[in-house]
Amino acid sequence: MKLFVDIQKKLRDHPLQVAFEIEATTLGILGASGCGKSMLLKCIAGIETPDSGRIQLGERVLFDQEKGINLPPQKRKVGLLFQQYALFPHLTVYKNLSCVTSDQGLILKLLHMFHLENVRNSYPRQLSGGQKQRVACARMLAFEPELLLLDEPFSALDTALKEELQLELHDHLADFKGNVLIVSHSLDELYRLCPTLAILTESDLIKGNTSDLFKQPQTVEAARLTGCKNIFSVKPLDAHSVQVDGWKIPLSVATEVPKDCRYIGIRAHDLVLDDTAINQLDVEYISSQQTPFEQNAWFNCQETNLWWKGSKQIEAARIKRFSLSPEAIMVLK
Amino acid sequence: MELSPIIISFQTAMLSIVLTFFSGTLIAYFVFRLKNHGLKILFNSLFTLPLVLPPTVFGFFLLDIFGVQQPIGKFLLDFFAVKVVFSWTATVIAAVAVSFPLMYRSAIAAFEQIEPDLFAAAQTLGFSEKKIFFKIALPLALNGLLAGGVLAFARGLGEFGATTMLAGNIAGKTRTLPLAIYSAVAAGDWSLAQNYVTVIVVICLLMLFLTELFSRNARRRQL
Repeated sequence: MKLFVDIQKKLRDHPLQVAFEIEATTLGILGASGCGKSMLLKCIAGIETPDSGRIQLGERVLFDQEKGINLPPQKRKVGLLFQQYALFPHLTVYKNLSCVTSDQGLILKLLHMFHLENVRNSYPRQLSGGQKQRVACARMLAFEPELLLLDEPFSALDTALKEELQLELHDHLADFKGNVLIVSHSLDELYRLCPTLAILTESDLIKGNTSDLFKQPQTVEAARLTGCKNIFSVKPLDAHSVQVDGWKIPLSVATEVPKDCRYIGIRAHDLVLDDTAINQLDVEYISSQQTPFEQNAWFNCQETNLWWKGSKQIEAARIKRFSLSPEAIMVLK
Repeated sequence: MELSPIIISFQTAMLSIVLTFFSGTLIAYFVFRLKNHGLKILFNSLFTLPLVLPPTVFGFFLLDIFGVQQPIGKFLLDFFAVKVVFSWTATVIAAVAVSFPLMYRSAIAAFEQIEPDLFAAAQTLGFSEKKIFFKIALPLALNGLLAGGVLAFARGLGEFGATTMLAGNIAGKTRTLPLAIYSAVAAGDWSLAQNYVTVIVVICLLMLFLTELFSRNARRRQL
């Protein structure tokens, strides 16, 4: 079933402008906090009303400002999973489901599917974070929605639980026939769960295949949102080389460089130690910081700062030179 | 000790709390669910007005509505032969008028304490407005509503100003406890006044004790 969204809504500090169309996929929506991701979901679910535009799900028009159509949330058949799950605190797990549907068979099926049989008579406050999420999912599916909207589904969970539940949710989503929209600012989460990705920036929305967008985010803002640490302004020299402002040596680029190219992005992981590669950068060590499984280090390279991430086996302070493969340079607008 | 003031007060407070509780809860919920913030502020101020106005001002308004020379009062008298002014009904009307804002404010506060996502969730799960009220709002606000109800009951029991103006002070008919105290003091019967004072203080204390109990439960429920 096709989902068509083209809406505008004025938010406190900037307008939310979103247009996209998806069919039978899981779309991840990546955006900085406060850019209106949650608002977008609420508009599709009907809890908030856009200022203008149109939302259509399959043959059904959910919202059309010009025609004066605005279906109430009750009639949209759109499931929304809330960040804090919004379980009814005064009802047991079973009753949280049975107040949505009277179909006893469906309730039992969902309780079984989400491993909730042994807590069916518990109240939400007695459940763990993971169980709460499962109840919220089960309850959402009990209404038999045609579209699922997940708002930061893992933000309320411990790190330990997160990865396990991401796997679990991935399996459940695979069974769902309609479209799924997942809003998140966690790159990991979106990469794992969503084959397609939309990057929501203040100026526009860039949509594409998730792994393609991570390889080539197209704009500076999108590159930052996908976690790119090094962004430099450049002058294009020819179709396959650029010069970073202030640097003496040019860089070879694998993809074709458009004439109006103004920036490039280099991921912190793409700086490697390999003396034979084409682009060689002489660097001076500044400082480093350890994380549990890798390290971050900052280097000075011709008066600009480079951010590197890599294995803890390497002694960062002794690195004098990085190499950068031409494929790893992202050309940005 | 003449018992009629106690009985009249109780009958008045009982009937008025039923009216206040239901109207206060429903109107508060209606205003709570309004999306227009301007209207919300307007209604909130309007329904809280009797709380800050002197009861005599309210008595004046009520006389202006129900007085036999006024359109509504005249209509009631002519068509139903009902004279509101200086009747027992008047004590109830006065009590409802002054206790309503307490119920209304408590109910609004009780509804606003509910997590807003719960309402949004209920909507996306297909709940009708009626179902949202009975299944979600009412059970989750119940303790707050009961606390407000008890407070409003005590206020109705102690109503003096508007009652004197609209219902007068007729022994055995509209003389409620507060009026009986006033009359006893005016007549110099100090010990009678003392008895009535004791009765009303004990009742109000008991009411406040209940209010406290309900609001504690309400708070615990939120956790």
